[in-house]
Amino acid sequence: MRGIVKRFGAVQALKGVDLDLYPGEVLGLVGDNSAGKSTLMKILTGAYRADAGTIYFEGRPVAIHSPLDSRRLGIEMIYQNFALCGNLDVASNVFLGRWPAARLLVDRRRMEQEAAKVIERMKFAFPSLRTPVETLSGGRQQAVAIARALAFDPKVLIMDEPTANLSPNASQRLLELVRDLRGQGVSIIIISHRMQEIFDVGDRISVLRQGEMVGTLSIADATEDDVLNLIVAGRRSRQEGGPARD
Amino acid sequence: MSQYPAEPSPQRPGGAPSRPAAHEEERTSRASRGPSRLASVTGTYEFGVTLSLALLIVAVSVWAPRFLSTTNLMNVARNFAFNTAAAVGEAFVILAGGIDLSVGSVISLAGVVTPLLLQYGWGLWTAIGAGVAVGALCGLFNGVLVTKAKMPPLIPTLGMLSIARGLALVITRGRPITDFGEHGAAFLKLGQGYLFGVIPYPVVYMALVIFLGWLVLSRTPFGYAIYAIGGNEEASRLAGIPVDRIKTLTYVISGAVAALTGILLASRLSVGNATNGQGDELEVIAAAVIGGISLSGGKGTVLGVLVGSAIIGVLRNAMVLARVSSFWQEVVIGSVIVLAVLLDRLRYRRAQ
Ligand SMILES: Nc1ncnc2c1ncn2[C@@H]1O[C@H](COP(=O)(O)OP(=O)(O)OP(=O)(O)O)[C@@H](O)[C@H]1O
Ligand SMILES: [Mg+2]
Repeated sequence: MRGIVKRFGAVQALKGVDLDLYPGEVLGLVGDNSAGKSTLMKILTGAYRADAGTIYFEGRPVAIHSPLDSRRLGIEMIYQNFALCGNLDVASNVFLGRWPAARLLVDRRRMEQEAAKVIERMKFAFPSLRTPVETLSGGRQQAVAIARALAFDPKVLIMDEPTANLSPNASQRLLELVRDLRGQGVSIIIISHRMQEIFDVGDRISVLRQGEMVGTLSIADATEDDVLNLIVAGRRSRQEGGPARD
Repeated sequence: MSQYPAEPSPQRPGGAPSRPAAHEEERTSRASRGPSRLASVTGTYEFGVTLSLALLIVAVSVWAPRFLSTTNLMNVARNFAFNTAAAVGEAFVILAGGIDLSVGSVISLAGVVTPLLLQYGWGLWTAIGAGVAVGALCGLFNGVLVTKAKMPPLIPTLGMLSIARGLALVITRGRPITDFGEHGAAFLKLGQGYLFGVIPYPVVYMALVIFLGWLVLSRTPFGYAIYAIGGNEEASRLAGIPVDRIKTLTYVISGAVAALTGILLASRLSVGNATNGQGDELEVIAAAVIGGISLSGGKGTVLGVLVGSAIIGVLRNAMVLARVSSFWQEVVIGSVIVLAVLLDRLRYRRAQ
């Protein structure tokens, strides 16, 4: 992504942001509340349209005008607020908008079998795939949202605070899953406020601050302190640069 | 899972209890444990209204035995067939989170367009096709204003209520049309004839609309998308569902079904009159809501609509048999509508 700009009325949420994601890497995206993380990712999925900037996918500039475009490219996102239809059951939500059909009718059997497969792969258990999602707990709803993103073998997976509603145990399983997917060559962006998680599974970490990209560090040679300084002050450490006085 | 006999997915996934009062944990366990399956069926709203309808029928037939005569029953069925069909079309719109107030006027408009074209010498089916097309256009107008101009659905459809009624008056100059040209006999047969000599054609028409509505809404990806949009429009958009196109289509369907209903009604009444469908929107929406189609979208089934419409139909017939004045009938029907909306609110309050 190059030079991404996004305004919401008077608020300039993104001020010309560049972001790179390499094949098979896990990139952490961090920043304070309202730094613009979710907005940047929603531009990548076509949920929002950028006011300026270009998105490149596999080296080529691509036009992503709607979530359908990005899903066709193999980009899936787990949204911060899950984006589920509470009135529909688990299986229908996993296949939301892409219900398998045979001869014009939805193939429920296949849908449930494949949903069960994905959920099993996540090592998650559901009492029934036919339960309406609105009756599930927050953690289970999150699992449904994750299952949807995995169901179509994405090339790029974006997770917006995926562990926010999960128990420590479930979070661990999710992080394991992230490692597995990375092993299969999936590129993953994780937004999280839990620095430890990103240091656990990430390769690189990018920091947004007030709509600007203030730095990208390699996890291997950075400390959590470096990242925190970037988030808060926009600088890697207190010494570097010092207070602006030029 | 496969032992669940209940309606699959969108409407009532797994026959899940629709009583919002049920606590979350209780529901989950209920859905997972076999023996309490019966409870989850008897707990549904559909079961409640169906039971109410059964009780109503028993009460009416005990009190007025001639209610149960085949002639009377077919009469009742024919009378509510029109509203039921239109209510199924309306259900598409409401399930996707909208509302269509223009159905009554579209019933009137198509009910004069087709008779007029017949009078001009058009063929039977081309005249009917043109009438349906007019209804579909009205729906397209509603749908485009809702999705592209982002108007709340009440506004354009209320406007269309007035526009279509006005047009019907304009093209008939306010006079009823009773001359249907050379195809008059064939046209009148549609609303007045019987299949196999017993089942009135309008009832056959209603059955077809119900079957198709049920099939499309509960079995096709298009139907799933309608439920999804009614459940969470933003989530549907993010999942790549063409929300605007589907919402527009629901208005087109509602308009087309209302139009076809209006054409049959004109045939049944032997008159194309700009007042044929006047006020029908209320009863149509009431049938849908009493039948469990939630005004907040995404919940309810076509079979519920049939039951809701039947309740209104039986109630009306009972009041006729009891010689209740037609003025009081309006009061009673109105009260039932308010009650149904109240139940709808209570039912889904917890869920929100
Ligand atoms: N749909 C919208 N309409 C108006 N303003 C918006 C909208 N979405 C985001 N914003 C604004 O854009 C800015 C960036 O928001 P964004 O949601 O991207 O932050 P974030 O980094 O994801 O924060 P958080 O950690 O709280 O999730 C905020 O100032 C927010 O108020
Ligand atoms: Mg966010």
